[in-house]
Amino acid sequence: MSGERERPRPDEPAADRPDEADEQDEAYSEDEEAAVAARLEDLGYI
Amino acid sequence: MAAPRVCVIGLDGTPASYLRRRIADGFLPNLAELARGGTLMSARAPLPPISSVSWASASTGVNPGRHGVFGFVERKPESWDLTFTNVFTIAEPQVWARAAEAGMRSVVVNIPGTYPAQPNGSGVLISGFVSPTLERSVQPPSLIPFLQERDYLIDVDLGLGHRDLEAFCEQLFAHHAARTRVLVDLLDGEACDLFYVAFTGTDRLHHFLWEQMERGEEPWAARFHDYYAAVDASVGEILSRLPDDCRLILLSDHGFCRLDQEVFVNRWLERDGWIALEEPAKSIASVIPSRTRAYCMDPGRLYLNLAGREPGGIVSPAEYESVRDELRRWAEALPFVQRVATREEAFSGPHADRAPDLVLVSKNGWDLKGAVRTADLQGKGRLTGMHTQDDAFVLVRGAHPDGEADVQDVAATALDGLGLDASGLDGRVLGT
Repeated sequence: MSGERERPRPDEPAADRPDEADEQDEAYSEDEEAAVAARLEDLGYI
Repeated sequence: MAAPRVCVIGLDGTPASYLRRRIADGFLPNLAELARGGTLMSARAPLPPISSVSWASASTGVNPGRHGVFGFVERKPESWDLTFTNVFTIAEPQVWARAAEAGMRSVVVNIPGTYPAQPNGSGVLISGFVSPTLERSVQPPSLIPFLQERDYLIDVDLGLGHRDLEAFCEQLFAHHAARTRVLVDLLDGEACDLFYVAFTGTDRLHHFLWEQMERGEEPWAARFHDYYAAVDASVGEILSRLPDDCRLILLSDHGFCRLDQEVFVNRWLERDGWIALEEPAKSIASVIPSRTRAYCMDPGRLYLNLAGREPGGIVSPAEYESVRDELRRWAEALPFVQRVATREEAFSGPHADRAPDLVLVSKNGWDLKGAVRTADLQGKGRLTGMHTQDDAFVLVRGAHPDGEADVQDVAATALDGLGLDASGLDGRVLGT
């Protein structure tokens, strides 16, 4: 996530926030994605 | 220290029927006391009944067509690659965000779908599943040492459940004790208006030990019930710190039942000519779009391969209704399907256009999967429990609302308890 832009207001829905698509992409790093996938697979979700 | 005006305690996946049975048998004294003073309501989860979707409803008060979360994974726009839903997917403000806007302070712990942790006004937020690192799960980050000192774990090692049930259980109990320590110390040390927390070890327990519990297979059945005794004691510890006029809401986000067979829906679609996959298939990204009319995402979300929406989609928009009707009839004839809901029946709101075209609701025992790694139509591994849409519960201390609850009622009831406006939500306020 960019550290430069203003923080979203807490009541601001994510979909209305600027750069939402970027945030979606950056929510998990590549390493984190692998860990997330492993945990979801352990519970049979993927 | 200002005590909370509203306290929400989630027991992930705890069925109303299990609680009623154990209470009737003389166990779970703290939950029994609450159930004597208020109605332990059966509750219904949104579709599909998995934690990312259901907790988004329980924390926003709206259906998935409004909050925008339909699963743990989604197809990336204009791609067959998968992406994972997260806090930015949730398109409606959660209860604690509304409270912060009104100048109130919240402590939020372990709610699924809240990773990466976002600043929670002046309050605290510790993310829940799926949170791969503690460092990005805590707001403010200055709380990280506090959690480390208490051996806090966001989740148990789920792989242990597949490899070593004894070690899994041992970690599950230790993890629960650490979570309770953290919750109690936060209640003692952090002034707040809203305390909104979840115990998710219950869901893990059910996934790996439900059938053993039902069969009375030892030592697992005893472990199962002992775990609930620990959960009950933790609820008691929290209760003892709440003022009598605090609105206390307990809930589960979905129900649970025995898993008899895991059903790999994409392989059923393949058998009947709806989908073609490149082998060895690893995910839905292995789809061959030119030979695919429909596909499944976990757990039972069916999508048409629609031209203009899916890359290489072959179902034209003009054919949408007729092909979806054909797919629905196909699905209704499957031996494991209880019912099929269309997008319009299950969802409403600005994000309903991203919802699955159809949602399958399975018969109990048949756990629907979107996975394609196996070529089998169905099978069974180490998981012995599965989610249900019904048989969740909601209990509001001292309240006796009519009818069945919906998980989304929790957010409305919490907002009302804070003196905030709950109108305009899909959930109703569960009052006296």
